[in-house]
Amino acid sequence: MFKKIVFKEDASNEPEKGRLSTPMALLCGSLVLALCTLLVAALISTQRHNEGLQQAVSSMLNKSGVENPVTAVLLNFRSYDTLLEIAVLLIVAIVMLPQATVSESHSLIRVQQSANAGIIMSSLLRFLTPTLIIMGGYMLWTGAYSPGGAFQAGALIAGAGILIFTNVQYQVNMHSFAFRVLLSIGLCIFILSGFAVALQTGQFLEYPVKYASSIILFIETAATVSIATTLLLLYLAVAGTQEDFNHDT
Amino acid sequence: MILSQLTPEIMYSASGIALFGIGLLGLIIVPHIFRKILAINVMGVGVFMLLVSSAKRANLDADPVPHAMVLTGIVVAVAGTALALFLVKKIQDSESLEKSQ
Amino acid sequence: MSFSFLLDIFLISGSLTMAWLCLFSHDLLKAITCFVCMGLFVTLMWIRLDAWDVAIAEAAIGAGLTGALLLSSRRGLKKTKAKKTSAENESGEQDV
Repeated sequence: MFKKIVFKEDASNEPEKGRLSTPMALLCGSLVLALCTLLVAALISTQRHNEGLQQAVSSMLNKSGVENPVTAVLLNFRSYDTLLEIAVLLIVAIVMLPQATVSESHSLIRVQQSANAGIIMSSLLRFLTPTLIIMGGYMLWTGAYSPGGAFQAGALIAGAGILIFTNVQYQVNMHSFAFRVLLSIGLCIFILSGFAVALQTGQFLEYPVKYASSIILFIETAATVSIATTLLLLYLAVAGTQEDFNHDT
Repeated sequence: MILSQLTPEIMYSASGIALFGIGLLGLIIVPHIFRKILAINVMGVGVFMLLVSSAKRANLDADPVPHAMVLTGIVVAVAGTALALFLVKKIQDSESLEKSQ
Repeated sequence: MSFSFLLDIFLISGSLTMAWLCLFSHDLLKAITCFVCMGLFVTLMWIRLDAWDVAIAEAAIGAGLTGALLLSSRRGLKKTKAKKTSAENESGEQDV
């Protein structure tokens, strides 16, 4: 069934090669339909229990240092999850980093004045990039008491980065030390502050109630930087436009 | 009547299951590697939908723990998608290199 | 048949249609567009379910960033295919 995997792009009118034959497809369709019916039947017949963890979270919310319950769960009650998630992001980023070569320049960003960017793109950049970055900072700050937080802020700043670096004028040096620091700073700060609070409270990642909100903001800021850099790297590696930083001119 | 039992949560949960089913069907039937990646994403969205709709309570605030889990899951899903697309690109590059030699 | 019920039905049928088109339409560009549309429908559904944080993240990451990734990856796919076919034409091979 999974024998033939097609890599080429399918032309719009050409019937797709390697597709399953119609009776086989119908068989698969009916099997999947049966599975879904079973799942929906199970869903309807299951008694929903109306407790959940909402009570537990809201009773401890005043000790967490933030007012938004989702941020409290992400960065205080279940911060192991977020720590491991940032580690996963870092691992994916390491896989997708371009192959290590000796870097000729140490600068993080290079500007090519000669490249012709086009007036629409450059003026769009001039307005949109600061707006996106300010919006990201707002998301990060507002995550303490209303919807928002490190992930949303990181995604917005990564969007700003994608806008900048799809422009031919600017190139980011993925071999530079600064880029690697930006990638890993979130995980490092998270682990270091986890151990630092353990000196005070005796438990890894258990924040003292008095300083919880500032510790959370500190970790979130570092995590935002890392998430934004990682998402930018993912885009650039998949697009493959920035790999020749060292080679051309 | 059946309509009176049809609360929004049940409807959204069922739509999550339907999204999962559509994704599974696409994963099996469509041969193109790109569509398979899209299908895995659709399946993931279906699972997230099931989790989020199970967090909704009738008269209370929503349960934040499944929300945090889904938030984590979305970011990991995009990382996985990017990794898959990157591997597709690498495989194609090596294939075209082999062919040109 | 209240307004909210109709809204729910609209959102659910919209997201399911978009998911179907995303996987079974022939054009790849159309598929990616439908995927982004499905992400936005799902965002609205999560707002209906009071999941504001998740909705923001899905709109920014799930729909926006994944869409950008898929589009740029599709462009790379096209480029390698064009390169490949030109190489094949030069060596006089038949397209398999």
